[in-house]
Amino acid sequence: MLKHLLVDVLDKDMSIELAIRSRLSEKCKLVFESNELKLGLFACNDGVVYLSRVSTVLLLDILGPESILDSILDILPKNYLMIRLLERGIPVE
Amino acid sequence: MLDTTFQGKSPLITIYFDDSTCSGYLKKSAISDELADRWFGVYHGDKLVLNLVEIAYLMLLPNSNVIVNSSQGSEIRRVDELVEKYGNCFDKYFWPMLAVFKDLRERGRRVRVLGPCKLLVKDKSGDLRLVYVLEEKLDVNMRSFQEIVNEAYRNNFKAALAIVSLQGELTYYDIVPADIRAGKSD
Repeated sequence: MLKHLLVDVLDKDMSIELAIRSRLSEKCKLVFESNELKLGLFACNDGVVYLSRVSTVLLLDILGPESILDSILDILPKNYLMIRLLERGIPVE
Repeated sequence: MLDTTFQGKSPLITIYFDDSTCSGYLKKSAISDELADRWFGVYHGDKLVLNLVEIAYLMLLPNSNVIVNSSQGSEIRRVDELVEKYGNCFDKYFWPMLAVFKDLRERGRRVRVLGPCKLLVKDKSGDLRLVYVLEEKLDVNMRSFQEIVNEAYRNNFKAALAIVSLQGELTYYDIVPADIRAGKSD
């Protein structure tokens, strides 16, 4: 199973990114890392996680059992809000 | 859809303004009952108390026939006169609130002002929604949005944001809690 996870890391202290990296280091083995390219490749028991960062967004490609994804979701903030367009009003004259 | 009852030959609505509370009231009558039925104001005894947004909206209706009696006894017929006389009552929330209130009313929604930047709206489907009025460029953190949603959900309402752009365009957004683990077994 391949899962893609995009995390917009807007927290200024990088706590979310550091937590994800820390969790991956616990569960998996870092086999390649490039600070210049801001990417890392982790080998887990039955899977592989590719981590890269573009601007404020972390991209995780997770190939392997769902437990890897679950262990990452466990450390992400639990409260999310979805904001979506409802309707447009009549412009004020 | 316009608020048709008050178009054409509009009945005279006399509002007594209280500058200490920046609100006004109508004495109980057939007109005040009709306004209350349409979600205007709140009855306190035999007085239907209207807030400033409701008063301004009624004054701005086409063919409006609203007289606001000031506490000094003068009669005010236009919103600009009201602003001139009671400028201290018009805070920064007033105009965005009025824009959203007017827009929703003109599109057939029932709207009640609950507080600064906060409206209760009854959808055409009958659902109740707390609408928070925000101006473009206003810096709002995610925690505030979370509190907005929590407050709405505590009261079994849906939540929505009404964003008033600097150009006066209004856009409504649904705001709901989301669970990225939705569909997972836990």
